Amino acid sequence: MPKRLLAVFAPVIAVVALATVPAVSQAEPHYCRNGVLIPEGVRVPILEWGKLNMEPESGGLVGDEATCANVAGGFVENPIGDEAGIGVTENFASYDCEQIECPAGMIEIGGKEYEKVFEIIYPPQGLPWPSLLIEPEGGKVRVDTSGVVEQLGCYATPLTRAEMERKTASGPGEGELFPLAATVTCVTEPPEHEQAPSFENGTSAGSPSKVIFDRKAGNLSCAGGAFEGRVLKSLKVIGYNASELITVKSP
Amino acid sequence: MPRSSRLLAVLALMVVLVVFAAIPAVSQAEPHYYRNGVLIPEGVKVPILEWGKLSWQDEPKPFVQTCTNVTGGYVENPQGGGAGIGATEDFASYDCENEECPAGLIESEGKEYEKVFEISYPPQSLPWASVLTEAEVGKIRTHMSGVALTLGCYATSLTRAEGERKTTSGPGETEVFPLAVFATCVTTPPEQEEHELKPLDENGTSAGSPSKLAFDARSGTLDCSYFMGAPLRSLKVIGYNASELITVKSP
Repeated sequence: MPKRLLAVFAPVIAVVALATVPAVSQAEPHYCRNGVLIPEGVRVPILEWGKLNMEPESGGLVGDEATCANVAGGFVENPIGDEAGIGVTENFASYDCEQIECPAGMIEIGGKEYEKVFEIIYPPQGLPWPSLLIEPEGGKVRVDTSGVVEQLGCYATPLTRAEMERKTASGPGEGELFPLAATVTCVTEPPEHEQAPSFENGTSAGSPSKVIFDRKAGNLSCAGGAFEGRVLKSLKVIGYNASELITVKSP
Repeated sequence: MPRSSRLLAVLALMVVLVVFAAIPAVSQAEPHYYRNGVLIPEGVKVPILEWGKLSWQDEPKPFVQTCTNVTGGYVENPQGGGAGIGATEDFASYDCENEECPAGLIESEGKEYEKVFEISYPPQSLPWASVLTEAEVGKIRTHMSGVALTLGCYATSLTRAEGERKTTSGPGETEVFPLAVFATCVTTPPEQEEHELKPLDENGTSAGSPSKLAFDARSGTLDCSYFMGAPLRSLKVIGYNASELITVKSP
């Protein structure tokens, strides 16, 4: 009799126990800091960096792939309520780019020599980029990022757009380099053009987590839909304040 | 002194001179960069990542602005000897606070925009070169030149092209509209030694406890036209490729 009573009560106890587990630990992927679930509503600043490739999928106006070094800052958070982890990229900078159609070298404009440089620019009015943890396939958490806008081009440095196009050193274009050819703008446009890199957990500050732009990470829509741009390779991720290990956990 | 002793003394001096001459130039006199405790070979550029919150004190004004920063570049011990050198290739600031530009909404031509204080870095001024110096024994500093930055209060999502040229493209299309530009701050040429930026190098111990560039009272000020801008606080530094420990040492 006591055993039967126990058997009847066991499922009830299990249901009650599940109901009392904090909402944040159920169903959706969440962010952890140094192996501990980040409390709901706490924003944890993060730092991301790594070399990324950008290659046109078909008929790209940009030509061959571009490779740049990148640094980015933002934060991650487990929102209040039973919701998946969210994040924001607050700023993103690319430099030291290589692109075959815009090789390093000098170019003469108006009797002066300038250095050619391939750059990817992130218009400040397009930032920040929000993100959401998703798990479209079991065990593979992805960072679904929206609002991404990037402009690719070959520029003459240190010639500004204000100097070249407005014949003045100040005003609009004073902080923009002069593009040698038409630039190409690439954007996320859900649901067809998404940017959802997978999240690979690391083990320490010296071996940090990664956001991996794999073949399933999606494509950007470039030049108003004329072609698709694919981002490849990965960014490392650590906590900004104390090089904390940032990981994701899916129940 | 007996003749044999004098000969010995002369020989000893010669041996010392020969030994000194044989030591590679890189290990003499001037501060150099190390990666994971090992002297970086001459001519090898080691990519680095720097990040941290910096405050800018406007002297003699009482205002202080604080921004979060991420930056990328490299360090190197130059071929043929000489002190370690480096370059900041890109610098991004975000999440800024300034009491003269408090967060809030502003209306322009019937539309509402969010106010944001920003520090931007004209791309034509980058990269910023640096060299290690040791004017005070035991205090190695990273002496930066060519630094230029603009401090201002902006209407985010409204571009300068839209706000000033009434068009969405062309010069100013990737610049946010300034509600007020407080100043452009620069380092003056090294020979003037008036406005320098030379943060103190503080060696760390690991990727989790990295080296720092500390902007202390002796780090210098920037020339901001009608006031001086003095950065405070510090940036952390690690190797970009494998979170290597980057340190400096003077023989």
